[in-house]
Amino acid sequence: MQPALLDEAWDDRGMREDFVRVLQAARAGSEAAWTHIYKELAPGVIGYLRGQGSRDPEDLAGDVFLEVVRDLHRFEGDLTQFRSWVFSIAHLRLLDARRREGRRPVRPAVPELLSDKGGVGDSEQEALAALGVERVERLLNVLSPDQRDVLLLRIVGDLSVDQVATALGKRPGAVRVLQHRGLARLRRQMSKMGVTQ
Amino acid sequence: MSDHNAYEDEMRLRRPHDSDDAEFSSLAEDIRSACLGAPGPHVQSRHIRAILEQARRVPEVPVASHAGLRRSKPLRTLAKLGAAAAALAVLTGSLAVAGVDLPILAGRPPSDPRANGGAAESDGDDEVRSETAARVQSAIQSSLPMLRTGGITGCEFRAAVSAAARGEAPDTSACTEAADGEDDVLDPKGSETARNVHAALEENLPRLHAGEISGCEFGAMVSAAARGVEPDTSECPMTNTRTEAESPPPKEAKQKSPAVTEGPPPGSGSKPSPNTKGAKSTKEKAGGKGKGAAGNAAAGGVPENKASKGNAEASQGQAKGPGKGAQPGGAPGGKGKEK
Repeated sequence: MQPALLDEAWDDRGMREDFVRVLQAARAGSEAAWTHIYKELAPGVIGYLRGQGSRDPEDLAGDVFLEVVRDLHRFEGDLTQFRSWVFSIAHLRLLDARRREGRRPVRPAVPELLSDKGGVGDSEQEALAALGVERVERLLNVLSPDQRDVLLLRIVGDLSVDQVATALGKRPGAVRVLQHRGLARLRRQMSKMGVTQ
Repeated sequence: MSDHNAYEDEMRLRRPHDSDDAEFSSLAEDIRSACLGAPGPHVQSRHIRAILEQARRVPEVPVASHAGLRRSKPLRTLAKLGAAAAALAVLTGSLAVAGVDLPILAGRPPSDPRANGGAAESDGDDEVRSETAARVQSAIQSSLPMLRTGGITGCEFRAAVSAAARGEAPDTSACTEAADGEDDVLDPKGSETARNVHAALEENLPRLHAGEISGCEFGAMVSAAARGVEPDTSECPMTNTRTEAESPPPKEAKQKSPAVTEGPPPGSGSKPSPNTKGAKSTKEKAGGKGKGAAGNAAAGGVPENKASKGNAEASQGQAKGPGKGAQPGGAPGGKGKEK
């Protein structure tokens, strides 16, 4: 273990420029390195899981990062490949969670119990945000599962076509086709929603 | 099915004048803002604590050097192909070490009996025999035209062929001394092959002159005698027809000859060619001189596969001009004109 690696503080630029050192430090158990990796990737992972309709995306993201820690010794590559690898783990954990939920359906919380908790912020902002989320959910629901995977990884995960292909275990050409068809379907749905609204 | 440039990176949406794309760009932003969101500070600290705990539990394991290989499909395929090629090489090598001779058909002519799955002459005796036969054949090819044109006597012809069978230089001095007693000119000390060839020549040359056998059959018999195998004249063009239609070869001759009944057909790959008629007509026109005789001899008496070549030569007789033709009974025609 190299103490210098453990003590080193990593900023965004440092991580991009010297990702190998970040990985070495993370393998060595550096808190700074892991914090940086987490902050860099967690929003995208949680966003992807949320976009996929996960019931508890943050919890699932925690599982994803624990698996990243466990399997980091098997990984070899640069930052781009690391992002693909992390999102592929997230995708697999999502599928596992769906299978689990299929076996043990979770009852939704009673609205009265939630209302007891009360609001935590500006209700107007929350309402607007809820409208936006609802609109996004309605739009995403028209997509096939594969199209949804691809578009969410591209938009939310900020992955390239090749990275998405790696994460989903598909060919880049297939990812492009799914992306194109998904976008076309979204356009059609947007025009429909525009007419009805 | 797809628009022009459909697969250009659609996610960038850098066309501000396109209202659809502008709208879609705002949708992408909506999706991002709806889904993306940093975890709360409590969640974040909880996650990082768990991560560090897990990192402490995980022993430091050296990075797997084959991780890339496991991930990459083409690399895996290449590795499998390499392993298969190595296994094949090892298998071939072990077969070679074990002495198994794998058939290599490429590069052999189709008439090669080995290429056709025929009997392969692989032992040393056969090679020696085929060398002797080749020498005898070339001697016949070179001497027979001269014999037919009267350039050399029968004694000289036999001496040349006999010498070729022995592998020595021809000595025709005895022929000039004993012009009448041709039978005595050959070296009595000759090898068994030479004696066989001599006997075959003695037996068959008069028949050839008398027109009882064709040049092809004559060549087959002499060549077979040189090789020490039984002649097979079935491959001679028109032999069967002539034998059935005209006069069969005398039984006595067949009995006397070393063997007429069995043995591998010389030039087993060849078939009677209809073109030999053309050669015959050419021969008749050309007075029976020239290369055709050699081709004829080759057609009948060539060891292994040269008969087909002989046929080809015979069929080319028209273009080449002179030709004895591959016809049984060609000799009488040719000789008749000569005489």
